[in-house]
Amino acid sequence: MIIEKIELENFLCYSGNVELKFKEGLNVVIGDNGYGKSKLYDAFYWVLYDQTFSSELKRFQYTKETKSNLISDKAKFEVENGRINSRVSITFLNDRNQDCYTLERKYSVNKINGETIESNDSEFIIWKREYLYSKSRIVSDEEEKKRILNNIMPVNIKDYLWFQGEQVESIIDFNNQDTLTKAINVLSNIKRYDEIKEIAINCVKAVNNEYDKEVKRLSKDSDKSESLSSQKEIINRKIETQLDEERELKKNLARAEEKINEILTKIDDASKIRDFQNKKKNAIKNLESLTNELEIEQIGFHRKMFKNKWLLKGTTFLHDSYSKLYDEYVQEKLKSETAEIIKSEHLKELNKKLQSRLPINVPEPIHVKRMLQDEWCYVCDREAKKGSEAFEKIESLLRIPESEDIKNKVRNFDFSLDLKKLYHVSLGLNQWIQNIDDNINETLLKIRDLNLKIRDIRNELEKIEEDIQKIISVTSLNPDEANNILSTYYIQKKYEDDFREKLNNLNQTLELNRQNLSSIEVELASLVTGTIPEYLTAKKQILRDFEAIAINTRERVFDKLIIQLENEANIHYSEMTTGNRSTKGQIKLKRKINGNYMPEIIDSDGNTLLGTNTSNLIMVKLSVIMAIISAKSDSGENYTLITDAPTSVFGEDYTFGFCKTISKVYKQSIVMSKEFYNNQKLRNELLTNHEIKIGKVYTVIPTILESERSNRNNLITQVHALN
Amino acid sequence: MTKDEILKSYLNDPLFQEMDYMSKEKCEKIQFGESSGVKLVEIIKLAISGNIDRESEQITLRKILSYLNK
Repeated sequence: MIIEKIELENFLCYSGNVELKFKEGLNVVIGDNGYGKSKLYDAFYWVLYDQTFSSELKRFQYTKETKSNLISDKAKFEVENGRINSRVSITFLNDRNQDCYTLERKYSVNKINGETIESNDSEFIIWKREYLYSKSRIVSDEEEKKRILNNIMPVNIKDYLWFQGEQVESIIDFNNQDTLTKAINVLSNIKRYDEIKEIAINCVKAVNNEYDKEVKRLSKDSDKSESLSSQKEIINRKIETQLDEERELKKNLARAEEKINEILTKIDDASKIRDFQNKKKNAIKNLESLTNELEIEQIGFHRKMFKNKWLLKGTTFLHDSYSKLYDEYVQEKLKSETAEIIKSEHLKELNKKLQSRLPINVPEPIHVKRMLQDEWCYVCDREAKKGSEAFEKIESLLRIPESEDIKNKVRNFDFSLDLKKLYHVSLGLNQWIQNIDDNINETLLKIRDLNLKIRDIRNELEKIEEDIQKIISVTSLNPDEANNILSTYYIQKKYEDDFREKLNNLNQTLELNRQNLSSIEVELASLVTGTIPEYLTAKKQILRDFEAIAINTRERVFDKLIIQLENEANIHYSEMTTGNRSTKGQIKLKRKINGNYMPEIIDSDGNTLLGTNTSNLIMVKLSVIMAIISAKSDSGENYTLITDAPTSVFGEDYTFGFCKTISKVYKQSIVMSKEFYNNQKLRNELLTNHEIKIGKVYTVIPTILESERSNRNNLITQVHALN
Repeated sequence: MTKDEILKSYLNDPLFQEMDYMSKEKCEKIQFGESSGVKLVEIIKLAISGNIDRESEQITLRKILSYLNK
């Protein structure tokens, strides 16, 4: 069936009546962001599923949630009193028998004096026209409605046919291993082979029971047979449990392997980022330590002014001057002491002389002074005129004790010891002062050295930071993500090893149990007396063969399907990536340990390509989807692809390859795209390239741009056909 | 996929050929609606018919088991 047209009435930004007709081939609706492409996609979706996508909530909403929001603002604004309808109808045409179905969904509100009364739900009608010129009739039978809907869009393939760009990633989710297997199951006949295999397995179980009963019945030792049968049953139960465990382990192992594979492409980048981070950490640590050392040195520099006596720098001349003065002082002192000694000797001499004339202090000074006053010597009772020899002699008697006092006074102010000490201190300091320059130089060199080291580390840090930024921009990984990747990798690697070890142990136990089972069966057979009916033995053999063939055929058919799918996917992948120059590789559907298949990109030598760009990975998914759809088309089933911005997730240079491919794979496709809006060259190519089977091409343009749309009451979306 | 096509996929299986129930030439000529005279082939046909006709698994199982009692 193909879509003939879609008619919209007051649906979201499409106010008034709008009709878009479609043809076989690639139909494109072109518009920039916010122009109404997604609302058109919503219109298709709403008719079939009663849901529209909320970009704010990032989920689909039913009509009962959106209600009057479905109706164009312009329509609501213009009607003061009355009923306002929002309606979308899609007409499908069965090109084989000309049957025509129109699916219509309607939602209405009533406005009374400006107040809106909302309905709770939408109405859904299917019109059917059986022959080209017959009249359409409403389909009222619910079963028939369901059948028509399922013919138009089978539930199990809807996801592969109607999707938005951002959903491509999740249609085949690389994290969910069985999505591809499920897709293959849904879109092929493999399910039949699974069901026949199940019948064969159950047939074998049934015949085994029948056979065992017969063996027991014919036993010569029924007790032993009973006991052996019980043992057999226990072992069988154990084997079943172990097989369940094995499946679970394989599933877990595959999951761990998948997670490892998934991050394997990023592990090198993550390791590089972590190494850079570690380098940065060490550099920062070094920088801190050096900065501290420098700070200590700088503070120490000032302290050393006093501690290392740098203040005395250039003062050696003071010592020289002092030394000279001190020498002079010592000389003077020696002289003075010598003079003192001579004087003392002289005094002694004088005293000796005085002693011969008068005893010391006789007469007492008071009498001496009287005699000097009277100018008369009362000792010898004769005149002693002032200035005479006699007067002077009397006067000299007063001076002797006085000269002794002066000497004592002089001795009280003797600093020679202090000056000597000062000299020695000065001598020591002088030695130190001579080394001050070296000491200062040494400190300055150390500071310079520290500054150089700090500068180097700062440069190193800048370089590391640059490298980190570079790798972050290339890999789109931030340091936290890189750490997460690495820790996830190590955790999953540990899981992988653990699961593998457990699986090995389990396999050994299973093998042992199977051997025990065989031994019991041999023993049971040895107890049989008489003959087991030939038909039963033959029945058992035939059913075992049936089981083996059913399992083998299922695997073979599935593998064949995988190869076909892989080849088909590679054709699409190659076509879609033609315009892109990056490494593309080839798609390989790789079988996992649990039997599921996952797409991988390999190089010409069969090695997995790591670090493939995101666009290519999405292309792989789209290629696989298209391969599945191609397989479905081969069986005569054709469905329309409706996709909104499918190329938004990959680069513009993939757009044309994508369009070319879908025009081959899908009998009809309706693509909403912005890539052709700005790129006139691409648009011309779309309209003229003969490799594309082109249907209808439209542009959608709103009367008010999204940025100026605070008031949507006049918003109209205009649709223009380009061909 | 028709019943014949499904049957052929089983009969063309290398394992079936190894089991030597039927020659390759005969396998190629076989028609789903005609009796082959080979019990294994007949039970495969019963399983295919049961599956295509949406028969319950238990019924198909019983049909197969009783067919082999003959």
